[in-house]
Amino acid sequence: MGKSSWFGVIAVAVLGFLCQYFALIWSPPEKTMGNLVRIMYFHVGSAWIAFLAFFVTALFAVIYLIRRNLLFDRIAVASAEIGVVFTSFTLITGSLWAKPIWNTWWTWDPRLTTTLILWFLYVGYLLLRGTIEGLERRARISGIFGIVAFADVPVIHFAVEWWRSIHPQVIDETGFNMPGTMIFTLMFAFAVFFVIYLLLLVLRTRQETQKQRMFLIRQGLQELRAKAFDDSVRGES
Amino acid sequence: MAWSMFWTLVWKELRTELRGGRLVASTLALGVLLFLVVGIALNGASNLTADWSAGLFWMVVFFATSIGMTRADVKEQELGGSLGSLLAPIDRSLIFYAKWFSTFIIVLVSEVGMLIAFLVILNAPVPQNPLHFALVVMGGTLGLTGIGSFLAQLAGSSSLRDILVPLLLFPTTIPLFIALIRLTVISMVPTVSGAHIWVEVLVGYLVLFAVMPFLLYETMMEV
Amino acid sequence: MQQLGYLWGVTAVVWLGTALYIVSLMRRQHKLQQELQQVEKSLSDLRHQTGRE
Repeated sequence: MGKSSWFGVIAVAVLGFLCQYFALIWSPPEKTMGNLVRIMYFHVGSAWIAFLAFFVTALFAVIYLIRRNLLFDRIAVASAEIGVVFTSFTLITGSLWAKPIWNTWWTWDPRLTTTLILWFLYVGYLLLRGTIEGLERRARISGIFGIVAFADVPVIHFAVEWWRSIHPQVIDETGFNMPGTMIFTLMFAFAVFFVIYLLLLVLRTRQETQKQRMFLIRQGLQELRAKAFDDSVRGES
Repeated sequence: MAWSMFWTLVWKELRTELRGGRLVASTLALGVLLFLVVGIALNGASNLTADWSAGLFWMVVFFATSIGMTRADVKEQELGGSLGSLLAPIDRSLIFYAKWFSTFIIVLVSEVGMLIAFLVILNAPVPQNPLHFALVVMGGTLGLTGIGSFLAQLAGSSSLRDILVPLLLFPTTIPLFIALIRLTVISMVPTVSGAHIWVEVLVGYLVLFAVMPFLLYETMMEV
Repeated sequence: MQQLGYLWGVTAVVWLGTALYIVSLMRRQHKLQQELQQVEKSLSDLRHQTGRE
């Protein structure tokens, strides 16, 4: 590893420790939830990053379809993958949060349900993209699905929300007024996750670039080999 | 010009089916089988509430059609028909709309059979408002086949297409699914309120997936 | 402070998850590296072959 990447690792570690300190020690407990409110910083922070990541996927899918530069496709898939990772964090921390305060691992809360559906949508996106032959075709088709999936998200959200509001509401989520220290902690956690997201995005995109180059090199090698074989056959006859 | 082309394409699809496409037969068989399995799973389902039976009905319909839809254009690709229609001098989204409409007809036919199985095997109550129910089924099938044929095309070149079509279809159709179940419950028990919201969701969903292919289909069908 | 252990556990999910993702990235990178070596090897084989004739 080079000097700059060591610097990056140390910076992220420091930010992570600060985040942990602000969230678990410095910020105040909440009246009804007590210390459990501290999960919010991680849960909400990763949820925002996940939505952001999927937005980036849709955005770069659109840009790819207009400009037809495979770099945009690589950014889109990198973002989708990281989005799935952060959606998983959101679901797991949400479940771990719900258990002590609502006494259940899962509720049909609109946001929770939407998030799970989102997870499936983008796992589908990754599977779709992973199983299509041809760089351009793969980019085009997964791009279209990325756009369709993202356009579908608000519809899913409203449908689930109306569905739940017609049923008896089991858990009434009254918004609580956050004091400034809590808002600061939440924003800090979000910022730290955002930095991590950006770093991962760069790394993953770079890896995808290398993968595509490797694919092209292999193709070229195959052609070369076929040509060498042809030449040798011709030489013998 | 466009209309005659549209009907030519629709008729082509339906003729392929009539000549032994077996899409109706396989979808219907799978649907009825699923009702049977569900009935066994629920220990000889009887006296299901409207909520349950409406949900089960749409679940079976979605599942059976999403499996059937995957096979829909395999035959066409074998015979080279899809390439032929791509070469035709028409707007390519027209091909999509024709495919949508023909799949709609085919699925609707098999749904009639599934509905009978639903009423007989699951002992479901006959809807109190049959006209309303028929409209819901038609609207639902329209939406399901629309997005279904779009996704089947999209996943067509994937090596996992058989499993990917249902896997992509279910999450994308959740709003439609919820709206259809609620509307079906309302048509079974007219006292339940909230119909207008779900009609809005259904119509909104139909509009979204009627317009989006128009914008994206050209890009999708590039060779 | 009550429940602090539980809270540490929950936050560990995020950090460990990120670490796991990075490990998976590194594994994929390693695989790519191996592939690169393979390609280099077959390229030099090819050069040998054509050089002989």
